[in-house]
Amino acid sequence: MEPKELADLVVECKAGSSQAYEQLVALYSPRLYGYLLRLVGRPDDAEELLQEVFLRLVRSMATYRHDGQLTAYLFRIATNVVRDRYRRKQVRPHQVSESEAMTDDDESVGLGDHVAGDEPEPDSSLTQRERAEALNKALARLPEEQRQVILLRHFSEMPFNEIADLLKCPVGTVLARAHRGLKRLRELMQDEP
Amino acid sequence: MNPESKLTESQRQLLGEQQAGELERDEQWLAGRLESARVPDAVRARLMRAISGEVSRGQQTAWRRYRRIMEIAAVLVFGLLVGLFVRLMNPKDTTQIGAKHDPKVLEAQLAVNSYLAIVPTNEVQLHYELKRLDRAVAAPQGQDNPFQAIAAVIESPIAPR
Repeated sequence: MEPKELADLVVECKAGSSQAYEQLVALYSPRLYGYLLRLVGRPDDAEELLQEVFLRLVRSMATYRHDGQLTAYLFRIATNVVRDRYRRKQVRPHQVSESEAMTDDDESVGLGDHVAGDEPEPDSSLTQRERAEALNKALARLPEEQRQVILLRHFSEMPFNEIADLLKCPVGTVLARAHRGLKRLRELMQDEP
Repeated sequence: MNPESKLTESQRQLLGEQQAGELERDEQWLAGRLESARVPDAVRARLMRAISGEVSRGQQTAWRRYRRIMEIAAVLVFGLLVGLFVRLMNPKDTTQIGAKHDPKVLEAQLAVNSYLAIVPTNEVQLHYELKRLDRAVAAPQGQDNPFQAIAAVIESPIAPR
Protein backbone atom coordinates (compact mmCIF):
# COMPACT_ATOMS: atom_id res chain seq x y z
CA MET A 1 0.00 0.00 0.00
CA GLU A 2 1.22 3.48 -0.86
CA PRO A 3 2.16 5.72 2.09
CA LYS A 4 -0.52 8.23 1.09
CA GLU A 5 -3.20 5.53 1.00
CA LEU A 6 -2.08 4.26 4.38
CA ALA A 7 -2.18 7.78 5.83
CA ASP A 8 -5.73 8.21 4.48
CA LEU A 9 -6.69 4.87 5.98
CA VAL A 10 -5.36 5.96 9.37
CA VAL A 11 -7.39 9.18 9.13
CA GLU A 12 -10.52 7.13 8.41
CA CYS A 13 -9.74 4.85 11.34
CA LYS A 14 -9.37 7.87 13.59
CA ALA A 15 -12.83 8.96 12.42
CA GLY A 16 -14.16 5.59 13.60
CA SER A 17 -14.70 3.82 10.29
CA SER A 18 -15.08 0.07 10.74
CA GLN A 19 -14.46 -0.41 7.01
CA ALA A 20 -11.08 1.28 7.37
CA TYR A 21 -10.22 -1.03 10.25
CA GLU A 22 -11.26 -3.97 8.12
CA GLN A 23 -8.70 -2.89 5.53
CA LEU A 24 -6.03 -2.59 8.21
CA VAL A 25 -6.88 -6.06 9.45
CA ALA A 26 -6.63 -7.45 5.90
CA LEU A 27 -3.31 -5.67 5.47
CA TYR A 28 -1.57 -6.50 8.73
CA SER A 29 -3.22 -9.49 10.34
CA PRO A 30 -1.37 -12.17 8.30
CA ARG A 31 2.03 -10.80 9.33
CA LEU A 32 0.98 -10.21 12.92
CA TYR A 33 -0.65 -13.61 13.13
CA GLY A 34 2.46 -15.22 11.62
CA TYR A 35 4.59 -13.49 14.23
CA LEU A 36 2.32 -14.29 17.18
CA LEU A 37 1.66 -17.86 16.12
CA ARG A 38 5.35 -18.70 15.84
CA LEU A 39 6.17 -16.81 18.99
CA VAL A 40 3.58 -18.36 21.29
CA GLY A 41 3.06 -21.64 19.47
CA ARG A 42 -0.65 -22.16 20.13
CA PRO A 43 -3.14 -21.04 17.45
CA ASP A 44 -5.86 -20.25 20.01
CA ASP A 45 -3.45 -18.09 22.04
CA ALA A 46 -2.24 -16.37 18.87
CA GLU A 47 -5.84 -15.60 17.83
CA GLU A 48 -6.62 -14.11 21.22
CA LEU A 49 -3.44 -12.04 21.16
CA LEU A 50 -4.14 -10.87 17.61
CA GLN A 51 -7.52 -9.61 18.75
CA GLU A 52 -5.94 -7.84 21.71
CA VAL A 53 -3.42 -6.15 19.40
CA PHE A 54 -6.16 -4.69 17.23
CA LEU A 55 -8.28 -3.69 20.20
CA ARG A 56 -5.32 -1.81 21.64
CA LEU A 57 -4.82 -0.19 18.26
CA VAL A 58 -8.46 1.00 18.25
CA ARG A 59 -8.10 2.38 21.80
CA SER A 60 -4.86 4.18 21.03
CA MET A 61 -5.88 5.45 17.59
CA ALA A 62 -7.03 8.82 18.97
CA THR A 63 -3.53 9.56 20.27
CA TYR A 64 -1.58 7.79 17.51
CA ARG A 65 0.40 10.19 15.32
CA HIS A 66 0.99 8.63 11.95
CA ASP A 67 4.56 9.00 10.75
CA GLY A 68 4.48 6.19 8.24
CA GLN A 69 5.57 3.62 10.83
CA LEU A 70 2.30 1.82 11.46
CA THR A 71 3.93 -1.59 10.96
CA ALA A 72 6.49 -0.94 13.67
CA TYR A 73 3.75 0.51 15.89
CA LEU A 74 1.62 -2.63 15.51
CA PHE A 75 4.52 -4.94 16.21
CA ARG A 76 5.39 -2.91 19.29
CA ILE A 77 1.84 -3.42 20.51
CA ALA A 78 2.05 -7.12 19.66
CA THR A 79 5.31 -7.56 21.55
CA ASN A 80 3.90 -5.73 24.57
CA VAL A 81 0.71 -7.78 24.45
CA VAL A 82 2.74 -11.01 24.49
CA ARG A 83 4.94 -9.68 27.30
CA ASP A 84 1.89 -8.65 29.37
CA ARG A 85 0.20 -11.98 28.80
CA TYR A 86 3.12 -14.06 29.96
CA ARG A 87 3.99 -11.74 32.80
CA ARG A 88 0.43 -12.06 34.07
CA LYS A 89 0.29 -15.82 33.66
CA GLN A 90 3.83 -16.36 34.94
CA VAL A 91 4.45 -18.90 32.17
CA ARG A 92 6.59 -18.90 29.07
CA PRO A 93 5.34 -19.20 25.49
CA HIS A 94 4.42 -22.68 24.45
CA GLN A 95 6.88 -24.64 22.35
CA VAL A 96 5.02 -25.60 19.21
CA SER A 97 4.21 -29.23 18.63
CA GLU A 98 3.61 -30.83 15.30
CA SER A 99 0.12 -32.03 16.15
CA GLU A 100 -1.02 -28.53 17.08
CA ALA A 101 0.64 -27.01 14.08
CA MET A 102 -0.91 -29.38 11.58
CA THR A 103 -4.61 -29.16 12.47
CA ASP A 104 -6.76 -29.27 9.35
CA ASP A 105 -9.73 -27.59 11.00
CA ASP A 106 -10.24 -24.10 9.59
CA GLU A 107 -10.93 -22.81 13.12
CA SER A 108 -7.37 -23.56 14.16
CA VAL A 109 -5.10 -23.38 11.19
CA GLY A 110 -1.64 -24.69 11.84
CA LEU A 111 1.71 -23.06 11.36
CA GLY A 112 2.14 -24.63 7.97
CA ASP A 113 -0.72 -22.68 6.45
CA HIS A 114 0.22 -19.66 4.39
CA VAL A 115 -1.28 -16.50 3.11
CA ALA A 116 -3.17 -17.20 -0.06
CA GLY A 117 -1.09 -16.62 -3.14
CA ASP A 118 -0.86 -18.40 -6.46
CA GLU A 119 -1.95 -21.93 -5.76
CA PRO A 120 0.96 -24.26 -6.51
CA GLU A 121 0.71 -27.75 -7.94
CA PRO A 122 -0.31 -30.38 -5.34
CA ASP A 123 3.13 -32.02 -5.23
CA SER A 124 5.06 -28.80 -4.86
CA SER A 125 2.45 -27.59 -2.36
CA LEU A 126 3.13 -30.63 -0.24
CA THR A 127 6.88 -30.04 -0.41
CA GLN A 128 6.43 -26.39 0.40
CA ARG A 129 4.14 -27.25 3.28
CA GLU A 130 6.61 -29.80 4.62
CA ARG A 131 9.44 -27.31 4.33
CA ALA A 132 7.42 -24.66 6.11
CA GLU A 133 6.51 -27.13 8.81
CA ALA A 134 10.15 -28.08 9.26
CA LEU A 135 11.06 -24.42 9.57
CA ASN A 136 8.36 -23.86 12.18
CA LYS A 137 9.56 -26.83 14.17
CA ALA A 138 13.13 -25.57 13.98
CA LEU A 139 12.01 -22.11 15.08
CA ALA A 140 10.19 -23.63 18.03
CA ARG A 141 13.41 -25.28 19.14
CA LEU A 142 15.27 -21.98 19.39
CA PRO A 143 15.55 -20.20 22.75
CA GLU A 144 12.67 -17.77 23.16
CA GLU A 145 14.89 -14.65 23.11
CA GLN A 146 16.50 -15.64 19.82
CA ARG A 147 13.19 -16.64 18.28
CA GLN A 148 11.58 -13.35 19.24
CA VAL A 149 14.36 -11.25 17.71
CA ILE A 150 14.36 -13.28 14.50
CA LEU A 151 10.56 -13.15 14.13
CA LEU A 152 10.32 -9.48 15.02
CA ARG A 153 13.05 -8.61 12.56
CA HIS A 154 11.56 -10.76 9.82
CA PHE A 155 7.89 -9.78 10.13
CA SER A 156 8.14 -6.16 11.22
CA GLU A 157 11.31 -5.28 9.28
CA MET A 158 12.26 -3.02 12.15
CA PRO A 159 15.89 -1.89 12.38
CA PHE A 160 17.92 -3.62 15.09
CA ASN A 161 18.20 -0.49 17.19
CA GLU A 162 14.39 -0.21 17.36
CA ILE A 163 14.12 -3.88 18.27
CA ALA A 164 16.68 -3.33 21.02
CA ASP A 165 14.66 -0.36 22.24
CA LEU A 166 11.46 -2.39 22.24
CA LEU A 167 13.00 -5.37 24.02
CA LYS A 168 14.83 -3.08 26.45
CA CYS A 169 18.26 -4.58 25.85
CA PRO A 170 21.49 -3.39 24.20
CA VAL A 171 21.66 -3.48 20.42
CA GLY A 172 24.73 -5.72 20.62
CA THR A 173 22.69 -8.31 22.50
CA VAL A 174 19.95 -8.19 19.88
CA LEU A 175 22.47 -8.56 17.06
CA ALA A 176 24.11 -11.50 18.80
CA ARG A 177 20.74 -13.17 19.41
CA ALA A 178 19.77 -12.76 15.77
CA HIS A 179 23.12 -14.04 14.56
CA ARG A 180 23.21 -17.06 16.86
CA GLY A 181 19.54 -17.84 16.34
CA LEU A 182 19.71 -17.77 12.56
CA LYS A 183 22.89 -19.83 12.54
CA ARG A 184 21.24 -22.41 14.77
CA LEU A 185 18.11 -22.34 12.62
CA ARG A 186 20.11 -23.15 9.50
CA GLU A 187 21.85 -25.99 11.31
CA LEU A 188 18.51 -27.38 12.45
CA MET A 189 17.12 -27.14 8.95
CA GLN A 190 20.07 -29.08 7.59
CA ASP A 191 19.21 -31.88 9.99
CA GLU A 192 15.71 -32.12 8.55
CA PRO A 193 15.15 -34.93 6.05
CA MET B 1 13.95 -6.82 3.17
CA ASN B 2 13.32 -3.16 3.81
CA PRO B 3 16.45 -1.11 2.90
CA GLU B 4 16.13 0.75 6.20
CA SER B 5 16.45 -2.57 7.98
CA LYS B 6 20.00 -3.15 6.73
CA LEU B 7 22.78 -3.25 9.26
CA THR B 8 24.33 0.11 9.95
CA GLU B 9 28.08 0.64 9.97
CA SER B 10 28.18 0.86 13.76
CA GLN B 11 26.18 -2.37 14.05
CA ARG B 12 28.59 -4.11 11.67
CA GLN B 13 31.48 -2.98 13.84
CA LEU B 14 29.66 -4.06 16.98
CA LEU B 15 29.01 -7.55 15.67
CA GLY B 16 32.24 -7.97 13.75
CA GLU B 17 32.60 -8.03 9.99
CA GLN B 18 32.38 -11.80 9.61
CA GLN B 19 29.33 -12.25 11.85
CA ALA B 20 27.63 -9.27 10.23
CA GLY B 21 28.11 -10.89 6.83
CA GLU B 22 26.71 -14.18 8.14
CA LEU B 23 23.74 -12.42 9.70
CA GLU B 24 22.85 -10.66 6.46
CA ARG B 25 23.22 -13.86 4.50
CA ASP B 26 21.06 -15.81 6.97
CA GLU B 27 18.40 -13.13 6.97
CA GLN B 28 18.23 -13.39 3.19
CA TRP B 29 17.97 -17.14 3.54
CA LEU B 30 15.06 -16.86 5.97
CA ALA B 31 13.29 -14.19 3.90
CA GLY B 32 12.55 -16.70 1.17
CA ARG B 33 11.26 -19.35 3.56
CA LEU B 34 9.28 -17.85 6.40
CA GLU B 35 5.88 -16.65 5.32
CA SER B 36 2.98 -14.89 7.00
CA ALA B 37 0.20 -17.04 8.39
CA ARG B 38 -3.28 -17.13 6.96
CA VAL B 39 -5.82 -15.85 9.42
CA PRO B 40 -8.79 -18.24 9.44
CA ASP B 41 -12.04 -16.67 8.21
CA ALA B 42 -13.83 -17.38 11.46
CA VAL B 43 -11.02 -15.68 13.40
CA ARG B 44 -11.11 -12.67 11.12
CA ALA B 45 -14.90 -12.39 11.46
CA ARG B 46 -14.62 -12.56 15.25
CA LEU B 47 -11.84 -9.99 15.14
CA MET B 48 -13.95 -7.59 13.08
CA ARG B 49 -16.90 -7.96 15.45
CA ALA B 50 -14.63 -7.13 18.38
CA ILE B 51 -13.17 -4.12 16.55
CA SER B 52 -16.62 -2.78 15.59
CA GLY B 53 -17.74 -3.12 19.21
CA GLU B 54 -14.65 -1.29 20.44
CA VAL B 55 -15.08 1.48 17.85
CA SER B 56 -18.71 2.10 18.85
CA ARG B 57 -17.79 1.93 22.54
CA GLY B 58 -15.10 4.55 21.89
CA GLN B 59 -17.61 6.78 20.09
CA GLN B 60 -20.07 6.47 22.97
CA THR B 61 -17.32 7.36 25.43
CA ALA B 62 -16.34 10.38 23.33
CA TRP B 63 -19.99 11.51 23.17
CA ARG B 64 -20.39 11.08 26.95
CA ARG B 65 -17.19 13.07 27.54
CA TYR B 66 -18.39 15.83 25.20
CA ARG B 67 -21.78 15.97 26.96
CA ARG B 68 -20.07 16.13 30.38
CA ILE B 69 -17.83 19.01 29.23
CA MET B 70 -20.87 20.89 27.91
CA GLU B 71 -22.71 20.34 31.21
CA ILE B 72 -19.76 21.70 33.20
CA ALA B 73 -19.49 24.69 30.85
CA ALA B 74 -23.23 25.42 31.24
CA VAL B 75 -22.96 25.28 35.04
CA LEU B 76 -19.97 27.63 34.97
CA VAL B 77 -21.74 30.15 32.71
CA PHE B 78 -24.86 30.02 34.90
CA GLY B 79 -22.76 30.53 38.03
CA LEU B 80 -21.02 33.47 36.41
CA LEU B 81 -24.34 35.07 35.49
CA VAL B 82 -25.71 34.58 39.02
CA GLY B 83 -22.52 36.11 40.46
CA LEU B 84 -22.79 39.06 38.14
CA PHE B 85 -26.45 39.60 39.07
CA VAL B 86 -25.69 39.43 42.82
CA ARG B 87 -22.79 41.84 42.35
CA LEU B 88 -25.00 44.31 40.53
CA MET B 89 -27.66 44.10 43.17
CA ASN B 90 -25.11 44.68 45.98
CA PRO B 91 -22.68 47.40 44.90
CA LYS B 92 -19.41 47.48 46.75
CA ASP B 93 -18.78 50.17 49.37
CA THR B 94 -16.15 52.24 47.60
CA THR B 95 -15.61 54.53 50.57
CA GLN B 96 -13.20 51.95 51.99
CA ILE B 97 -10.96 51.82 48.92
CA GLY B 98 -8.50 54.50 50.01
CA ALA B 99 -8.23 52.91 53.44
CA LYS B 100 -6.40 49.96 52.05
CA HIS B 101 -3.43 52.17 51.28
CA ASP B 102 -3.30 54.61 54.19
CA PRO B 103 -4.18 53.73 57.82
CA LYS B 104 -4.62 57.39 58.66
CA VAL B 105 -7.26 57.76 55.98
CA LEU B 106 -8.98 54.64 57.29
CA GLU B 107 -8.97 56.05 60.79
CA ALA B 108 -10.45 59.33 59.58
CA GLN B 109 -13.05 57.60 57.39
CA LEU B 110 -14.18 55.37 60.25
CA ALA B 111 -14.44 58.37 62.51
CA VAL B 112 -16.43 60.33 59.94
CA ASN B 113 -18.74 57.40 59.33
CA SER B 114 -19.46 56.93 63.02
CA TYR B 115 -19.81 60.67 63.47
CA LEU B 116 -22.27 61.04 60.63
CA ALA B 117 -24.14 57.82 61.29
CA ILE B 118 -26.68 59.60 63.40
CA VAL B 119 -27.24 62.31 60.78
CA PRO B 120 -29.74 61.77 57.94
CA THR B 121 -27.78 61.96 54.67
CA ASN B 122 -30.05 64.59 53.17
CA GLU B 123 -29.68 66.96 56.11
CA VAL B 124 -26.87 69.07 54.64
CA GLN B 125 -27.36 71.94 56.98
CA LEU B 126 -27.08 69.66 59.96
CA HIS B 127 -23.67 68.52 58.66
CA TYR B 128 -22.44 72.05 58.66
CA GLU B 129 -23.76 72.56 62.15
CA LEU B 130 -21.93 69.51 63.38
CA LYS B 131 -18.78 70.69 61.71
CA ARG B 132 -18.97 73.96 63.54
CA LEU B 133 -19.54 72.09 66.74
CA ASP B 134 -16.38 70.04 66.03
CA ARG B 135 -14.38 73.15 65.51
CA ALA B 136 -15.53 74.42 68.78
CA VAL B 137 -14.66 71.21 70.53
CA ALA B 138 -11.26 70.96 68.82
CA ALA B 139 -10.06 74.45 69.45
CA PRO B 140 -9.21 74.37 73.14
CA GLN B 141 -7.79 70.86 73.30
CA GLY B 142 -5.23 70.96 70.51
CA GLN B 143 -3.48 67.90 69.07
CA ASP B 144 -4.78 65.33 71.57
CA ASN B 145 -8.39 65.90 70.66
CA PRO B 146 -9.78 62.77 68.96
CA PHE B 147 -12.20 64.86 66.95
CA GLN B 148 -9.36 66.75 65.33
CA ALA B 149 -8.92 64.17 62.54
CA ILE B 150 -12.66 64.15 61.97
CA ALA B 151 -12.78 67.85 61.66
CA ALA B 152 -9.83 67.88 59.25
CA VAL B 153 -11.60 65.44 56.95
CA ILE B 154 -14.87 67.33 57.10
CA GLU B 155 -13.19 70.61 56.31
CA SER B 156 -11.09 69.35 53.47
CA PRO B 157 -12.17 69.07 49.83
CA ILE B 158 -15.92 68.45 50.14
CA ALA B 159 -16.66 70.98 52.85
CA PRO B 160 -17.58 74.45 51.57
CA ARG B 161 -15.54 77.37 52.92
